[in-house]
Amino acid sequence: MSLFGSFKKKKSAQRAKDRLNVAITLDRDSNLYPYLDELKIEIMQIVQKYSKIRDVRINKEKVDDQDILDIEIVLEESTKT
Amino acid sequence: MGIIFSIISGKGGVGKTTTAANLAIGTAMQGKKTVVVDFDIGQRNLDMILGLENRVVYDITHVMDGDVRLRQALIPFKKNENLYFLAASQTKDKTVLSKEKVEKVLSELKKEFEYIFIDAPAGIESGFEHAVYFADAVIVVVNPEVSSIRDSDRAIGIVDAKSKKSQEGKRVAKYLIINRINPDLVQKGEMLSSEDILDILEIDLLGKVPEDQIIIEASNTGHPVILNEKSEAGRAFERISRRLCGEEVPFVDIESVKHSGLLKSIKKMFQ
Ligand SMILES: Nc1ncnc2c1ncn2[C@@H]1O[C@H](COP(=O)(O)OP(=O)(O)OP(=O)(O)O)[C@@H](O)[C@H]1O
Ligand SMILES: [Mg+2]
Repeated sequence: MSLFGSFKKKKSAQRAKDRLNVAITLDRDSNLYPYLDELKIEIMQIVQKYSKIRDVRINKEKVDDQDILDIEIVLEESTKT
Repeated sequence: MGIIFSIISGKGGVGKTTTAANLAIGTAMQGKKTVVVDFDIGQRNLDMILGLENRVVYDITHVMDGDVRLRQALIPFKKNENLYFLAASQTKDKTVLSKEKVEKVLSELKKEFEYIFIDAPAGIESGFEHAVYFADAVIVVVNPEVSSIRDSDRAIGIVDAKSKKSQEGKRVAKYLIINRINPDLVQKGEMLSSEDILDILEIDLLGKVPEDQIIIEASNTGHPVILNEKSEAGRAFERISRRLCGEEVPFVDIESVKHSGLLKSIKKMFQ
């Protein structure tokens, strides 16, 4: 090990590797549920049989090691006259 | 029954068509009945690379629509009797592909051929899913460069989610080809090494192909590099084809041997 080894700038290939590892881990996380769009459409279709709805929102969460899908069904404002 | 290999990438322009052409010729040279299919609808390219652009009368859409029989659309590759080619249509309308039609053509091809190579559009293009849906194995082509590698990981994710085999709970084999390696840059630490790339992507290596000027000449003339004894990339594609045919071919360290000849002769001068 040279005395100045630790001051040397990392070679660019090493930086590419480090950055890719981070980026790909994040990408994989956000692609964990590739079926979300279809799930959303199906939930909307089912709920619409019973009530008018405005939106279905699905949030991905992680509590400790537990993955959670948080599904929020937003109903249409009541149209009572 | 033949095996379907889909040749895919995340980002475009990394060498899928070059790989498809050369590997198809390679397995044909190994004596396997091979067909290579251009699935890049609207961007027909493989015909030029194979030197068959003047021979295309009917393409895959004609077959899918029942206008002609498969036999009429298959174009023989003059330089090897084991190889046939099926062209993509040049229409802009990419919705011409449907799962049912694709399945019908591919199952017919599976009966006739041992190796079926699909030249897929890039991972972001529509049509990609059709090209991987019926794959038995996918060959992922990357360049040693960050965006190509990152996008390929997402393309692999799509294969895992959307292909028929994965949906049936089976495994789709996935292999990596690293294309356009520049040994000098890898040696200097300025280009990701194949080891780095395998660490990141976690899939099996099928082969490494160096950057090779001869590929330009090959596409100019329609005479793929695997047919050229002098081409380093051609030799790399030949080794990969042999691996696909079940032969144990050791991995050549193309990342460091390149200048050994020159280096030796310089050393000699000082002896
Ligand atoms: N090993 C190599 N050395 C030098 N040039 C190469 C190499 N591999 C591919 N090329 C060149 O890179 C360009 C893109 O290659 P190719 O058309 O095979 O990529 P592609 O992935 O099929 O692109 P697209 O996504 O547009 O279909 C071509 O000009 C080709 O000649
Ligand atoms: Mg192409």
